[in-house]
Amino acid sequence: MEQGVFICHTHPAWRSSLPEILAVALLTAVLAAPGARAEDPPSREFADLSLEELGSIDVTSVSKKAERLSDAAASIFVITGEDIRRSGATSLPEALRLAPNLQVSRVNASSYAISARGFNSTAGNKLLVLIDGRSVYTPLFSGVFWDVQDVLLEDVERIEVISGPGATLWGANAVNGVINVITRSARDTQGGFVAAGAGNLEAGGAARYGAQLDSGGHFRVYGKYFDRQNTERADGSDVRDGWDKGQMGFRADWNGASDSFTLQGDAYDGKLEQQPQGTADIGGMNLLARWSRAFADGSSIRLQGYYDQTKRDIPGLFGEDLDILDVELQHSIRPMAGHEVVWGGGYRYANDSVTNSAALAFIPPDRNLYWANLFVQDGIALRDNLHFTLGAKVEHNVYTGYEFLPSARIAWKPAPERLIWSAVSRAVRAPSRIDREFFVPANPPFQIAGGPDFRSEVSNTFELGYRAQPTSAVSYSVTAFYSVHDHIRSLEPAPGGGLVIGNGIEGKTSGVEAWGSYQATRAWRLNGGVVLLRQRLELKPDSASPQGVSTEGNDPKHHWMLRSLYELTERHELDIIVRRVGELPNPVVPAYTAVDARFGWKADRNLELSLTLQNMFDPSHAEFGSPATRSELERSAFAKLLWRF
Amino acid sequence: MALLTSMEQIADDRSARYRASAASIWIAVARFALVALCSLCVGECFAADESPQDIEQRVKAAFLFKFGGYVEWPERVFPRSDSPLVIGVAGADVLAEELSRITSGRTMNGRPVTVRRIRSGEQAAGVHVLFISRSESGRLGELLSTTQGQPVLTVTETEKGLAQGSVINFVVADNRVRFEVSLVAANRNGLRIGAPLLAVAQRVQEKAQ
Repeated sequence: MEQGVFICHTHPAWRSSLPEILAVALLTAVLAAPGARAEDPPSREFADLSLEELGSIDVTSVSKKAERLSDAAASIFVITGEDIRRSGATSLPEALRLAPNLQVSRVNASSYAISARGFNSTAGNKLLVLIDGRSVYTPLFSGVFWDVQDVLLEDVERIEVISGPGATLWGANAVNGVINVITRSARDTQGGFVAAGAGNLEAGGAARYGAQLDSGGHFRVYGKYFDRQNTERADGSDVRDGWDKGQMGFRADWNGASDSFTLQGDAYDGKLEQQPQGTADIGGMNLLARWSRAFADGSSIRLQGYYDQTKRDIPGLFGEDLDILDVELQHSIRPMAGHEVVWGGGYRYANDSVTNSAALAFIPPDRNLYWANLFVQDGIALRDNLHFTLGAKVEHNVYTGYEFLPSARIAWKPAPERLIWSAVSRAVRAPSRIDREFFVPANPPFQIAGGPDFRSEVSNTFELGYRAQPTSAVSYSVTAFYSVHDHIRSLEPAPGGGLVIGNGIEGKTSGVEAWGSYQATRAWRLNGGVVLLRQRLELKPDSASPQGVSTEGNDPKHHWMLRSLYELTERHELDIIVRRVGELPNPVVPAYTAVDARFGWKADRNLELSLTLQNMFDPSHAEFGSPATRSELERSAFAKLLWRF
Repeated sequence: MALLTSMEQIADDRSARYRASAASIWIAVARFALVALCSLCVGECFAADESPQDIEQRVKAAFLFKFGGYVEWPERVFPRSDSPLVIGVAGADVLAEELSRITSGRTMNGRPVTVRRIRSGEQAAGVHVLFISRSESGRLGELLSTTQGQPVLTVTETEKGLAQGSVINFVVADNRVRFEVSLVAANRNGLRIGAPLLAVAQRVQEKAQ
């Protein structure tokens, strides 16, 4: 096979638009080799994978090709369960700091601002988060309440962090990224453990037990509890923002020859201390069932449904009872050689009931919402090492009706250890209740009023990426992206005074994400990552927003991290992370460097002790928000004991 | 064609401000897709289908190769530092072929690796790793009992593999190839299994059942 043909034909056309270049190149490549039979796929690469990676290959994937993450035409970083264990992270947001393509900022004890590719805010609305297939975004503001999203970190198999749009598969809201938290199958979490830890800022404990069911399946049950202490402002004043939460849950899996079935659920309850007094209650429960069947012809079908209930009560200010029902179906087929089609649809229903206060209101307080979607994606093997994926999703919401979310991706493997990919995607951020139905104060005259005509924010994104594993010890990934955003949310002057929510911001974000890994010796691994971001937002000509563009995010121009994982002996681990985050512009948050370290000791096969020090060389620093509202994150120590039985 | 039309509609839908850039991207993509799809129908340039079973066998082959790096055999087993590591394969043609391909030109801890097919009626003498395919259920018991107490890493892929005396048993769970390890059988055969291997094992059996 002449692999060179692709590159020589693209070269002269370099100045025309990239899709055109790809079209010409691809056509040439295809026509240049009529009837050419591809060689057997290079099979040596399996032997270069680690034991963990080998164990994570989906051997029945519909593509009939072993799907490795390094083959995905997207900017994807994977946090493994082992990465989390060796980071000493005690909560999901803290574990997400391990992904170089995410910007994770902590505001105080319980509040986080997390985003990819800009637009970061505690009410960030362009990142979609799924926990075992359950979307945890709230239709209240299209974002995530990070203070209630938790899993038993010890049972996490991996967290896939995809920066960039994923709307074609995951729908509206997957504008800047998708976080996919995947817990282990119950079969892989047999036996029990008890863990307990304490430090100067928090304490907690967890337990899990898994066993086989008489029916041949497996199950596990778990419980966990933690308590985080109040924090302080930069001026030393105390902040009442303590956070405690208990959660329990279960998961059962039945894996047959062709069918597998999963049933899982969680229930949680917690308290958030409030300034200047009082306590907010948070709680909820969810139950999910998933059935999948693989057919002998390589096709497969998956059906999933879940119920998710959340409650939040901030006395005197706001209360919410939200019930969500979600059903989705996905069918993968191979209609003809060289095509892998995935299609499906979903329906999501939400009943949102808000308790308003004099200060703010959602009108109407009770709202029924639904979303319906259909999608199809065709993965086309143009040649053995050249894959083109074209897909589109049509999603309907109650506010703007139909939204069209297409994407095209191409992946070319000039050699087994190298991948060049590119993608063009359209994603939208559909309106949520806060955009249309939010009023401050609750009665006129309003200072802020929901925009009756608020429409979807639209982002068109172009990405180009390169991934390589030049030797078995070195791997890296580089992605460049360019997004054009339009109709981004703004606060416009209302005719009768006050502000109304509008779509007055447009702009572009561009940047580079890069990360790599180097296995220096058998016992020493180095990981690093860097993100450079340029965000140019401006008011549209018809906007008169007095707030300008500052309402829609506060992002550093760069952030990087370096991580060293060292096995001192078979039983002793010393792991260090250095994180550098550039200055945030508005409100200004100074740049900071944080150094965290963990020392782990496997006393014996069943007993593990660890000590995690965070922010070692700096008594405290702030990460997000204005000086009046943000807390300083102090130097901390946390000791943990884990005993398996 | 429907796809093309709807893409153009979407492009037309967009505000005039970005029409030039975004619309042209989408139209170009749609045109490209159409071209690509049409050329596919005439050019039969596809790889041969690879069944899930083949991938499973290939992954198992890679595991078999890698296991050798995490197991310590008694010193007497390898007379010289470059004595070859011999992997015996009973049954499993795809796996054996794949394993031969993987191991040609590769070494494991400085040792060359050779693959030996164990045909029916043959004894598995002189092998360091022995894989017994599920297709060989007829002689599974015999192969396991003749290697018991010998310095051989026996690997099976049947439900009761460990119970029948093998050291490692492959299981497919959640569409993924995983394995379970019997430390009892490993001890009996004089093998030491490294911690990294145990850490990845789906299950480690430490006591006799």
